[in-house]
Amino acid sequence: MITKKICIIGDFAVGKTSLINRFVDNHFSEEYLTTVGVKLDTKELVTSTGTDIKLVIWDIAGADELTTAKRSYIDGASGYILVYDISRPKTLVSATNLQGSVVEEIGSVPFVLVGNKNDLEAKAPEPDADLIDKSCHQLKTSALTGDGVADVFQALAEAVVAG
Amino acid sequence: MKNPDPKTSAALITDSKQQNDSDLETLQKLLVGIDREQAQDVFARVQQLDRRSDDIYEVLVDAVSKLNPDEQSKVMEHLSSVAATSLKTSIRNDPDNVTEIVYPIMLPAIRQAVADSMRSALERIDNMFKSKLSPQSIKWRIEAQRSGVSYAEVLLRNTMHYGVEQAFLIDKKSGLLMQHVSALSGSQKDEDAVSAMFLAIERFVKDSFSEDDDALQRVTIGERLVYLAHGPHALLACVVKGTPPADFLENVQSTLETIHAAEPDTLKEFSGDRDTLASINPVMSELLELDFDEKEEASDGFSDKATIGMQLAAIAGLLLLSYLWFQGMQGKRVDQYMHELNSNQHIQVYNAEKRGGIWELKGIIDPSGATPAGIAHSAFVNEPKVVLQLTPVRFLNAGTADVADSN
Repeated sequence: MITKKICIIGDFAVGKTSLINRFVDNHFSEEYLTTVGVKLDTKELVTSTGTDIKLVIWDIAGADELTTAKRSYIDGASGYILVYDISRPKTLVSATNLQGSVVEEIGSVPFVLVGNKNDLEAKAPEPDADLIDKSCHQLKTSALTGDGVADVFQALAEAVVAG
Repeated sequence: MKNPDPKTSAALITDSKQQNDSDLETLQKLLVGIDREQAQDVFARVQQLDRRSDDIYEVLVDAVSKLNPDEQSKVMEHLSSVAATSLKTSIRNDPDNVTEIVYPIMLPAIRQAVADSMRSALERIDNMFKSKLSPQSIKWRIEAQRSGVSYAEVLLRNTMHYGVEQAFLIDKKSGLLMQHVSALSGSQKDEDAVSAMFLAIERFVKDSFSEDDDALQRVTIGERLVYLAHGPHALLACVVKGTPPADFLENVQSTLETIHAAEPDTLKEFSGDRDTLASINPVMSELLELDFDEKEEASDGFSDKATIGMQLAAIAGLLLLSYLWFQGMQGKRVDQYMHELNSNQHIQVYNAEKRGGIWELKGIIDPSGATPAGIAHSAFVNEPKVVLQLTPVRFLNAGTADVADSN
């Protein structure tokens, strides 16, 4: 089995931690998010090519930009999940900015663009074509119902293993 | 006479000139041909940069190899400022590269300095404890003399029990777990998540409190300590229960250096496959044996039972000594009492004997001169364990007496 580090980033209250809680095997207390600014979880998966992979998921506290500390948490990531809230257009702008910051920090690695809270009325526009092109997948999810959550992690795992 | 055609004349002149040039060239070749080729070769060497570099390289190497000591020092003097500037620029541009180069040299030196410092601290503690005396300290003192180590070391060893529960080798960049060893049985927290959390905490502390490259070295969690040793590509975190000796981190650092020396490229290029670093697992397992607990005491011949037996024997010995001392003191006091009684000219005590824990003093008394009760009270206050048996007699003169009554 190989282990890979992935990060989940996005603006405040877009549902990052809820997505993880829907999915992971082991997780630490959410208090770490407010103290250290990051929470660690793991999930084991098997890719379509039969590769066993364990994702170490760094849930980075929500922000519309990356601070120095948060930049250091992204270091060494093989991929990331970029989350926005489809009911809040501002979070899509933040996601676009965050994606640029991540590229500055660790270069171009695979990422999945996730429009969360699919159970609510969509108010955010569709993401820019440029952002969609850069992502390896674009998915809509609902952490509330669990819709599409597993697909996000599976898609990123496939992309990370494919390199 | 027909005038010659100017075009034809010019052609003839040109042909003639070309012929002359050709002849002249032939003549030149015959006369100075070799020198000319050499000259052309010299020109080419001067004009072509790569050939010039080759020449300079050959000359430079040869010249340096032939330098005498005075010339060498002159060359070094001129090159030193250039080399220093070059080194500064290199460090500024890529500090990691230089860190990697000096890491194997600097860390042993730092460890040596720390070890020296610790040794001097131990000597101070040693001097401090030398003035203390207790049964336990006597035992440890004997142990120190027997084993040839300082008393302070034995003291620390016996008072600081600890055990290494887990060791994590962590990728310094991603926080991914490279190797893990554990002395614990049963279910534990996911080691991959713990490994990542260690790096997160390390970075959080560093970002929050340190502007330099100071690194987090120790974290206290209740009765456990987490020691973090830092290398160019990996962290080694040891979870310790109890209080380890002061040089513990030095041992962990040394293990990390061994790991870096054994697998430098694999550590640098780690991609998440732990099997690629399986060879260092035995090195890490040795960390779990770094402890001073009951097992080690037993191996020194001091099992728990033997220790308890020694303690009981010491207590019995002390009780015996106390009894003998008390008996000696009591006998001394009885002698003193007899002396005081005999100093009275109306009393003569001739025997002192202990029966059933009570001293019986036998003698004679002249009732006309003293009463036994009064004498006993004044000479030996509050002594219930002494019985005075004096036979009343009338003293005629010193040394003789008539028995007057029986007590």
